[in-house]
Amino acid sequence: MEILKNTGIWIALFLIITFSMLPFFWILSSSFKPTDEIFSPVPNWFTKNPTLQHYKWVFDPSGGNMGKYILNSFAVSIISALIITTIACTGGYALGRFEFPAKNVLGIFILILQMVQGPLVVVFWYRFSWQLGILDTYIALILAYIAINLPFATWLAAGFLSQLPKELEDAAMIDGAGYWKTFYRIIIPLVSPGIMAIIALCFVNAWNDYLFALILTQTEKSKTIQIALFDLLSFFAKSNWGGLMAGGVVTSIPPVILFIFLQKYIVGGMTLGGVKE
Amino acid sequence: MTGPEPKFVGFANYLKILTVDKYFYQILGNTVIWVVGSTILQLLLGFPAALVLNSKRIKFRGFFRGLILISWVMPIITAGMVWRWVYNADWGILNYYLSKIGLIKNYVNWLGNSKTVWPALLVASLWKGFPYMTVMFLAGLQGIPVQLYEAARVDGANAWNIFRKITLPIMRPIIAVVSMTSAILTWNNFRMIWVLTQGGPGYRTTVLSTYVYVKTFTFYRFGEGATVAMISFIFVIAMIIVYILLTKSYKLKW
Repeated sequence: MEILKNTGIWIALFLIITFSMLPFFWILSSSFKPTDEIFSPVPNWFTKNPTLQHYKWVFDPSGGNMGKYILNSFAVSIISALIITTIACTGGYALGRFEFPAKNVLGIFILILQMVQGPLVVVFWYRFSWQLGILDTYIALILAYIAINLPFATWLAAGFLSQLPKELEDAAMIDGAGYWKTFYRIIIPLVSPGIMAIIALCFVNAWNDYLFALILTQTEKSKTIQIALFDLLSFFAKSNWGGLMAGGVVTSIPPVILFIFLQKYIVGGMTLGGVKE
Repeated sequence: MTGPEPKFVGFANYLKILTVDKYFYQILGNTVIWVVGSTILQLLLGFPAALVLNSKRIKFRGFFRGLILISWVMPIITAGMVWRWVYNADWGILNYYLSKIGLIKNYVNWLGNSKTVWPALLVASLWKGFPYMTVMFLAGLQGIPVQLYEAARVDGANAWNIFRKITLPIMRPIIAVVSMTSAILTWNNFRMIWVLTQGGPGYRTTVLSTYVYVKTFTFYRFGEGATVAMISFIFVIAMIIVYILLTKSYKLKW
């Protein structure tokens, strides 16, 4: 009976993992195939002639020339993640550890902002960036990412910070440290895993963003890797799927690596709102 | 690209969208299919997956949780390539395997056929979204005190009864709140539909979020685009109110 139960649950796990991984494994494996094998009518899960030609194409200036787009993606994602985290920690500190009038109303307001997203605000962002003359610059993307991610990042920071014992500040104050010194000398170091999670989530959100990059960028000056790949997906249709899939794998690497190394903290952050009783 | 100087037109755009626009109500219906379908499918897979991953019988649970999160953290463009490849009419693997086991005779253009496009989109949405639910439910399941299960077992309850009388009642608030969150996120989810069908064929899979984009950036009708966004916003606000009432009635802290 025990064996039966064990087998049953492992089979269930196997089916779930297969559904989740198989489609991705297919493009991973195809990205190493020579072009003629990619379009083979009979699916071939493991190629006998693995090649890096598609990956070379991705970075080749006369091929995909994706280097500049990847650089753009890294620049806007890192800069926005750092700015968001800085603001979110100070805001979250106030929200998580101090009592002040209308605190609950403010909290709910931030929560609502978190859900008023994407298509609801794109028209505004386009007009705003156009009027400021910052269309197709890093600044437009960074501003948009700050605005969209700040509410949830502040919530997360408030959550982490409210869990610390209240005596910390009292002790630091008695020793003569002011609010600001207490904050960055005592409080921040204690929640560094939480801060890593916020930086990582904001980075991944910006890196994976598709909608705002689509409307706010136009040329290789600021176009991100997501949009560069989508352009190819639309125009090339059949001719260079190998290069496309290699590009798709390359752009998945940063978020996947971050999740592998910071999984514990990120999952802790994701589940902080909504599930805790 | 910016049109003439803006002028105030009262509710003209709303009237136009709500009475003249012959696609609007179809698109509203599509949005409901998209949101309700995605949420229910993700729940139906996400909850059992959390139960499986919570089982003591599984070793390396953290590793498997990491594996299923890959589809969730992957950029939408890669997910789009994955599913376009699976569903492709000429060399897609779905057609190959379905015809091999004899379920279909002729190859189907899954994303281009108005009968198959919705199921195809919803499966892709399930694949991308269910890990989020699983992770949330897993956190909830891990919060259930072990003593509760032990006490029930001492009293002679079987697995089914333990699930029905302990797990499900404790999880019900979490299921409700997470489903609501997921519904709101899906309502605003423009990316999945855009990379797979761009709302086609025709307006078959256009939802409010892609319609805002089409109105604004394909037809350059900024006013109408903003109007569709505002109508969409009213629905989002309604869902947020339900969400807040849910968390209040269950006394969840968020």
